[in-house]
Amino acid sequence: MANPLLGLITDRIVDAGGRAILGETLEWLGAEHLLAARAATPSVAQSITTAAVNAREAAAVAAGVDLLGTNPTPTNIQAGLSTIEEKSLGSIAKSGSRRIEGMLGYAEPRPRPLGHGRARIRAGIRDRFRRCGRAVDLVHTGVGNSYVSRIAPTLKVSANLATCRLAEGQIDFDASTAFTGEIPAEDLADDLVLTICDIAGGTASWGEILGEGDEVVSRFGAAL
Amino acid sequence: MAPAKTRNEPTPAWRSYGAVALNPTDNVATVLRAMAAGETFIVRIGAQFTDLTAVEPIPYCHNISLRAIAKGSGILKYGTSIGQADTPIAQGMHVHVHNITSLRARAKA
Repeated sequence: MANPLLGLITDRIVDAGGRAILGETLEWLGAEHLLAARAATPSVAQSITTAAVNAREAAAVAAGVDLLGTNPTPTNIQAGLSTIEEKSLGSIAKSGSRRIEGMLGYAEPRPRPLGHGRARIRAGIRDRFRRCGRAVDLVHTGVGNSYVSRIAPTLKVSANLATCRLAEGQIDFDASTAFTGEIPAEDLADDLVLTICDIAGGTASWGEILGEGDEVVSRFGAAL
Repeated sequence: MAPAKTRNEPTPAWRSYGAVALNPTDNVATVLRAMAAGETFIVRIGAQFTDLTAVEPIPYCHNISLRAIAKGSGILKYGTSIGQADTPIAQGMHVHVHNITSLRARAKA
């Protein structure tokens, strides 16, 4: 439920003239048709399905890696995710609903700033190492995750009630009320925007306080 | 955060259903609490509500079948396929890695 919440944030950022970047192309497998349908041009749509997703899928198959054993991870599977398609469909909900303007390659710098009102979504491979100039890295986690970006303040959001209770000192934004329906998602998005502004303004996130890291180079295989 | 609820307020809708499917075409739903075998609860399917009985234990946040699914048929969630059934799946069963398989990025045998 935190994924669609982040989707609301993405739409707000884009509507305000900002730019959002969706990473982890491997987690588009099975959902790429939904992203491609939002592409600004046929070539962007093709780059989503061909350059990003199919190439990654072919590389995994060629490397003899069966995603069944690695993604979803054993932790994801225990938490209820069954297949990469199921994980992807949740994952791309983070991208919101706005038009996708382009695709960035690995470590490719962002394009020149956009004029006011010319909102765009940029989609690309493994945003984590890209010199994209983003202000904040939003990470959604179901069962907790010690990843923190080395180049951008990282804010962790979870909607899993048990995780929010157990990992109170890791989750920066407790979205569990979106899961239970206690608070409408739009209201929760208002709160999350304030938290993002706090972190972007210098307030330390839990990851910074705890010195978390776990930045890894893109690879196929199990995440340890 | 959440305003304090008074005793006279109606029960919020979220307390009344135990599983949710976001798209009306879905053949699985996600349980919002762990379900015991034989437990009957309300499922929200899109904007509709219906009763469902778990025929086996369903762990928290896992998928349950909304209707019988034939072997080889697609498992539909969010209105899209998330894999296919390896065995026939009856209504109310746990739908997970033991009885469905991804159709993507499979290494060649």
